[in-house]
Amino acid sequence: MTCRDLIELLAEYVDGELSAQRARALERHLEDCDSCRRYLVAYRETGQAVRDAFAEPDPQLPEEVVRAILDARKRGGAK
Amino acid sequence: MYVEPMQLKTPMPIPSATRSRGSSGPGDEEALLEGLQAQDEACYELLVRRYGGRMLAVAQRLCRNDDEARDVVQEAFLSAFKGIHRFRRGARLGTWLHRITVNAALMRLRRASSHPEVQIDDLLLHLDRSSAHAGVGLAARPPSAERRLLRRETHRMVRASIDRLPATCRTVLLLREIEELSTSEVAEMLGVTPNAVKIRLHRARQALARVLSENA
Repeated sequence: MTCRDLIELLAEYVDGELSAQRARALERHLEDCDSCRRYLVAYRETGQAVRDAFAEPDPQLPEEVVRAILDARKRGGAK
Repeated sequence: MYVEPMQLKTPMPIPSATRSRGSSGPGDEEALLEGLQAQDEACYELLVRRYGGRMLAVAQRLCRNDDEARDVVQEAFLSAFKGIHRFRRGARLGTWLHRITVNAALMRLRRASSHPEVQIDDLLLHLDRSSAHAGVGLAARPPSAERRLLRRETHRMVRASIDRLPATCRTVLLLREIEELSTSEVAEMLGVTPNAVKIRLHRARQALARVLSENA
């Protein structure tokens, strides 16, 4: 497996969607390639950074929006 | 009936259809569903107050501004009200509403006028010795107050970076990473093949890694 091959398979590997055989081939490449190991770390950190950036409590739906929804329903918006 | 605590200005009346029931959890949801299908107005209000915040969070993530997000939530609820008689028992209301909200947001995004977009090829992280070091750099451990500030600033920067992605890649990234939809679910929603979803996600992650490394 080349570094370019690894890049193309990385998303599936990180998401656990790669076959066992291909995952093993990828991991064998990682054992011998510093650049790819660092690339994988950066790739995973990016995914985690995305999840962390949105990990916050749900907002409260503003009261005026609640009322607008319920009024629309009463006016027949949901019929 | 147990009603989830919420920050309400006035006490939430117990819906008439569910007043006599003492259940919680799935039973509580079943009672709420019965009330909705019986067109109990109090149940509609409970549905909006119970799930509205979560739906707004989903809409805010996918839409580009708050007004749009609020419109999406309103559209999603009205769509849910129309379709409540088709709701499949055994499924979870929250999951169903989540899906409706995502679909409403995607429809809104499709209708929106196109914005000039950075070409993703310009953002792609190329594998070379220098870029292999790219990533979000938070290796140091400053004091806790400074860490909190740094964390908030990092989150702001990550979100801004996501907004720089081409719309198709941004949407796939959010649906897979944040909304936690599967590849096949995203493919079905967007009307593309699963392979197209995988490619867009991969390119989005690569581009985002490069944008983040430029801002690190």
